[in-house]
Amino acid sequence: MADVLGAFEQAVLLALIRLRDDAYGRAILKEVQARLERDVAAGAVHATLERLERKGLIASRLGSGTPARSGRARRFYRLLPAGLRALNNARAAVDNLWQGLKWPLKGHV
Amino acid sequence: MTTQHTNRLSEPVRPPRWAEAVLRLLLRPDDVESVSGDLLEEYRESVYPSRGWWRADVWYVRQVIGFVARMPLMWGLVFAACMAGRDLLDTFAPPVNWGPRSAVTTWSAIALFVLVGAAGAWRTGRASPDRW
Repeated sequence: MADVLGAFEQAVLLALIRLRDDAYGRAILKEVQARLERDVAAGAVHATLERLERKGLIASRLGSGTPARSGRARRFYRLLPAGLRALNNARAAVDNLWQGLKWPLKGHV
Repeated sequence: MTTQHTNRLSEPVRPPRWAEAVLRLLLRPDDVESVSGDLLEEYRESVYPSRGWWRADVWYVRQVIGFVARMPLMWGLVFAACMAGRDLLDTFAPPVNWGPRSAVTTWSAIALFVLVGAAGAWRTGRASPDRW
C-alpha cells in the first residue's frame, strides 16, 4: 500500500499550494496555524518540510533575506509532481471513506 | 509595510543570544540561515510587538526546545549522559547494596525510551520512526 500522507503533512503541502511563490518557512508556519486554528511549533513545520523533501514530494531553493531577519536567507519550497499525486491520493482516500455517508453524521451513536 | 522594532539603544530587538546559539548548534549547516531567520522574523514582526520582550523571549526559547525535542539524537545523548553519570557514580561512590541503584537507573532508562517514543507518536499520530 502506498504511504498515505498524515494530516499535518497535508496541511503543509496545501500551504505550499496556497502560498505559491511566497512559500518560505515563516509564511508556511503562519498559513498552517491559520488553517489548523492552533499554535504550531516552528520545529514541527521544519521537520515536516525536511521529511517531505527527503521523500521527493517537494523541492527547495534559497532566496534573499530581509532586514527583519537580519539578511538571513529564506528557503522557498515548491510542490513536485509526486507531492501533487500524494495529495490527490490522500483526498481520494478520505472521499472513499466518506462515500455514501451524509455529513454531518446524525443518529449513528 | 513592516516596522523594525528597536530597543532603548535603537538596536533591532533580538531573542536571547544563548538560545540563538543553541539553535544554530543544533541545525544542519544548510538550514541555519533559513530557520534562524524565520524565527527571528517571527520574533521581531509578530511576537515581540504583541507580547513584549519577556514573553517574546519565552516564546523563542520554547521554539528552540521544540527543535531540540524533535531530534532523536538529542535523546540518545541524554541517555548516554545518564549512563556515563551512573558509571562515574558506581566508580567513585559504590553503594553497599546495588539493587536500588540498578532498579532506579534501569527503570529510568526504560521510562525515557517509552516517554520519547510516546511523545513522538502523540505528536505525529503514528508509531513509525520516519515520521518524526
